[in-house]
Amino acid sequence: MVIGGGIAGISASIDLGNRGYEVVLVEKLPSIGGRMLQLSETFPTLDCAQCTLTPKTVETGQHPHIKLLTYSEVEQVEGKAGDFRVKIRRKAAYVDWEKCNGCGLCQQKCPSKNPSEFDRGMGLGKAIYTLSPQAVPNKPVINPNNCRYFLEKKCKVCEKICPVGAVDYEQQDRFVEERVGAIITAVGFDLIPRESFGEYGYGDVLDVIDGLAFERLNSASGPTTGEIRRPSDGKIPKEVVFIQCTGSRDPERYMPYCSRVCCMYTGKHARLYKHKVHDGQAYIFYMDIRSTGKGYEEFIQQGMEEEGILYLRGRVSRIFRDGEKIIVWGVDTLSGKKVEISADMVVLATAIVPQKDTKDLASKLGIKTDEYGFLTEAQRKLRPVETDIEGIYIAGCAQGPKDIADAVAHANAAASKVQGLFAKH
Amino acid sequence: MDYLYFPGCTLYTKAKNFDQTARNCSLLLGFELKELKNWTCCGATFPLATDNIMAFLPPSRILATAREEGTALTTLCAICFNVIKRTNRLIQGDGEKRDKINNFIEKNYQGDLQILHYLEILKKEIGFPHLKGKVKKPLEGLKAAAYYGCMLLRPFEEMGFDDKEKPSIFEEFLEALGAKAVEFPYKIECCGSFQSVGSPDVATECAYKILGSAIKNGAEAMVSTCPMCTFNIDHKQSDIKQKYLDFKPIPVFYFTQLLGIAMGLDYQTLGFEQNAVDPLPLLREKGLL
Repeated sequence: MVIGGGIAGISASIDLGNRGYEVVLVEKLPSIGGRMLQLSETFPTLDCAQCTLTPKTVETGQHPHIKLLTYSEVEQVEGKAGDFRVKIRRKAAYVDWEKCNGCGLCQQKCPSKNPSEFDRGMGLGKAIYTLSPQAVPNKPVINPNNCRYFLEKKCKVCEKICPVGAVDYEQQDRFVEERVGAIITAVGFDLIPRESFGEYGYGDVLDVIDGLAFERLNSASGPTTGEIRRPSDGKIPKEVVFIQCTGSRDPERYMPYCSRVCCMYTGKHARLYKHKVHDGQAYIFYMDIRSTGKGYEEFIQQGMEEEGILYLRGRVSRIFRDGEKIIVWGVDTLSGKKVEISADMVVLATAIVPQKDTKDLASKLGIKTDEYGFLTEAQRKLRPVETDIEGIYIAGCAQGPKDIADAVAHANAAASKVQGLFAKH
Repeated sequence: MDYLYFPGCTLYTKAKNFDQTARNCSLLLGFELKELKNWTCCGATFPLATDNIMAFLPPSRILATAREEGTALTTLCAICFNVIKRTNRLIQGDGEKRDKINNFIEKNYQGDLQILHYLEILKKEIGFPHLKGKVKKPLEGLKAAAYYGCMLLRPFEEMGFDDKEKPSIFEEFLEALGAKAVEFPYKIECCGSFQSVGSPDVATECAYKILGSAIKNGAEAMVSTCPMCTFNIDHKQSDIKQKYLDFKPIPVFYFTQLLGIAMGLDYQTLGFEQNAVDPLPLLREKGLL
């Protein structure tokens, strides 16, 4: 069993499926793809995240040895390596997925529009939705918190429009049990909320967004169909400030650790911004540039030297709104001067933190988490994918911040550990 | 209930209006400010050289004397509040310093006084809803910018006065009086402090930014809790006017002066003659005299 359908979970599932093992992939959200599906382009090659990922999600969806249980959560785990019994809650989608043919009519006609979580609150999503047009599986769910029928007991537009009669408002959560030999936990990460940062206005300053929101703005499938337009008034921002280490490497107040990907993705953001807004200026506040990967340093240098991105070594102490503009107060420690930038948009590279429910899942599995809530490996250097419990492995950002390449390598390692375990028994 | 009160030097001289209005208003609100006996200057800055015990002695002596008279001490001036509260915390938490200080001042003070700002009494002891009920002349139509400055809030770990980045106690106070509290981004920025002595231009520039931001956001008046801030943002307005010709001065009140108006005190007792920018025209215009 693989828990978590992001790039790590998908990679491990495909590895094991291709070896002929039967895989159950459990995903909390309605479809697989995880965080990577939210990204626009990926460093250091700037290729489209969805173009790289979609073949993988489709392969997973169609794989003869992979059973997808999306919109599902692990409730209870019993047993030991070679014989785990896992109780899984299949959340009520209010749509009969057996009947649904994925035509999408219900989503077109649904009258309830709400800020989309997938688009970081910027675009509007429907109450009956799939996460993306290429969702795997391409089956919608109804969010009862936004649905007019659930809130006001009227509407039922989706039920009327559905050509196969798949909408079922009476559906309840179901429980299924799966018996598996090993478990890979690849539940991914979250970002520390913008609301945590008082000095940056507690999330109240308009057009101050986080890195994932910028990914959505830049994505062709995002709320602006890939045009860089600021959320408040849809204007194209001409001065954009990026702030690295927002909440990372700050032991006194936030997270003491380095989130590992922000240097690279901020450099990428600034470059992508310049590719779309040629007369715009990108500023990056940084502490150090940590570009330790293949082709990474070259990628950052190219941004500095060829694309005119202005790197300022220093921290930002305050952000506030002054009319149309966002005032950014920082310091350039190389020149020793205070810097004030009158910006149109600010992007915070907020720290990577574990998912809120990672701890809860860890206790169900009987594995450990560290002081921040990341899953703990059996040994820091030599056993990076095993846990203290035989047969339970970890992969990807659930263990700690990683970029895509590292998360995939970690998942591949977890999958081969599972194969090793099965070969032994 | 009575509160032991440390006025501080400035409130006996340049800011008599702050002191008097606070005392008079407290009586109307049902408590008395009982002045501490034999008080001295608080030291005026919290010493950053931690090994220099001498600088901690004036506030320590004040605290020790106050403890002999009661369990809580209140102040008005933001700087005194800062120095006294931080010294109290130091004595409370640092046994070695506590012993040294006590040896010097020949007292045995343990740091167990509660240090309260007047605004905290209004919020926590009186309660803003109750205060609102006591208002005789609501400050309707007055758009006032609550200016906190630094000393009430920083350093946050030591002061713990309100939210460090987005405090609201001062605005809540103004709303309770019926005024419209104007939000402006410079409300927690430094006024320039003692730079007004050594580098007056620096302080003038700070004051201009604060005032300009408040005015831009619709403020007709500023409200302060600090004689130092008041000096820079009120008395310095004539300098600002010389440098920026289009600058239009606005009055700066101590918060207790506005409290006095709202409580129905005669304006002639509110000490407006000590305000640099005359507030009477604005008050007249708003029908608050």
